[in-house]
Amino acid sequence: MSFRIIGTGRAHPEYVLTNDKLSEFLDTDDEWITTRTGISTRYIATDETLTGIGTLAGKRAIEKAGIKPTDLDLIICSTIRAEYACPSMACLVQREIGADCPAYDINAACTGFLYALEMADAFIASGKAQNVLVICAELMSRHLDWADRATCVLFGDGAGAAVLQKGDGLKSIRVTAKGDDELLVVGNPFCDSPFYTGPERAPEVYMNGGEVFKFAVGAILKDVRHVMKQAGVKQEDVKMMVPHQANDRIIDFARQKLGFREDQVASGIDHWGNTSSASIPLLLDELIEEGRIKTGDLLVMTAFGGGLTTGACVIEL
Amino acid sequence: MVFEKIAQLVADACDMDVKEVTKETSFEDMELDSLDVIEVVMAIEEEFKINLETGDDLKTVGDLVKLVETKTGA
Ligand SMILES: CC(C)(COP(=O)(O)OP(=O)(O)OC[C@H]1O[C@@H](n2cnc3c(N)ncnc32)[C@H](O)[C@@H]1OP(=O)(O)O)[C@@H](O)C(=O)NCCC(=O)NCCS
Repeated sequence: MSFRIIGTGRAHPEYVLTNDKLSEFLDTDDEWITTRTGISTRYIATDETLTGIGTLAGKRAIEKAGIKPTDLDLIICSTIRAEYACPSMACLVQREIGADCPAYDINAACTGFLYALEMADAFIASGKAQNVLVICAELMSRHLDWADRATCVLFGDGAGAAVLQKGDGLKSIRVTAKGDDELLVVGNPFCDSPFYTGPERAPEVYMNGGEVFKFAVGAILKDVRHVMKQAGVKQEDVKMMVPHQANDRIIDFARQKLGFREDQVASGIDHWGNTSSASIPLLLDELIEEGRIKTGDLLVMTAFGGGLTTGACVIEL
Repeated sequence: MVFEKIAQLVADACDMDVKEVTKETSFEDMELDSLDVIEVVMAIEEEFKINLETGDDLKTVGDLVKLVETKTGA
């Protein structure tokens, strides 16, 4: 197929929020959070900006890729909410890193990285682009209801990026969508239009945890089996599965069903929390840095999220 | 029939002898937390080819049996 990943990068805010700190203002405790989710700490933005951490992750990826910002043909940013409704995050990043290519944002919630890869695949395969920068950046802390213990303990802030270059790393990919606004909703700030006559709707985060759990496990099983079959690879060929980091319990349940060993599945949720679309690329960067995956290794990535969206791919690093 | 199948799935989930599972057995006694119960529910959905809502208050094996019986009209 079309591209290889030639560089990755990550960035996060400085402040580390612990479970104990959360229990100071919420009726929760470290034990509940770690046993139900696997999360111990997460980074939370104080004065950092989305563009700031996204740009940093992007710059690091470009540096490792060894290309110049002006070599980029396209910048795709994935975020559930950029700093402004307009301009897009991608345009601001383009300025900050000194690129001169087209740039835009996409929103596929936690599946954003897979959606961006699918898009980059189309651009590169068609010859429209040679080098594509994908940045997934999320400040989930700015969209949460900090009084709702059932949701706010789950998320964290961070950014991950990857430079994709024409090549044959990608073996198979698929993304899916099934419109739904009942299982998982993150509301928007409300504009006070004097003409508005609809129902009052406060900004909200709503999640049906149990149903999302089922949806997530089902999505991983279906998508991973699909892309592995498409690529003609078996469990033992795969160096590592890199799943969206929403909950260790989801990942472990799916892992057992898929027949992967524990050491074949990447996990970083303990110190990241759920960083939405950023979770896969920032974990990739961490794994590469730690030497746990390297060029030539076969990876399976899988994600699911609001939309409802899902996606998976098989890729050789 | 419904009970026997569910008892087996519950026994599998917590590595216990199926003979020890009764309708009164509670998930708390078996040290299954709410996410373990969701996993059991998913296994039941697969076994009976039905969709269950996890929102219901499920405390015992009997609760699961009742839920499945209403769903399947058994
Ligand atoms: C969120 C999640 C961990 C909750 O687990 P759960 O087993 O479904 O938990 P429930 O909502 O049934 O709550 C169980 C109990 O814990 C309580 N609880 C919820 N959050 C809590 C917290 N942070 N601390 C302590 N107790 C908490 C609930 O109030 C409930 O108590 P009750 O039985 O007395 O009413 C789990 O559903 C999950 O991870 N779902 C998938 C979420 C996800 O992946 N989202 C992102 C998609 S991209």
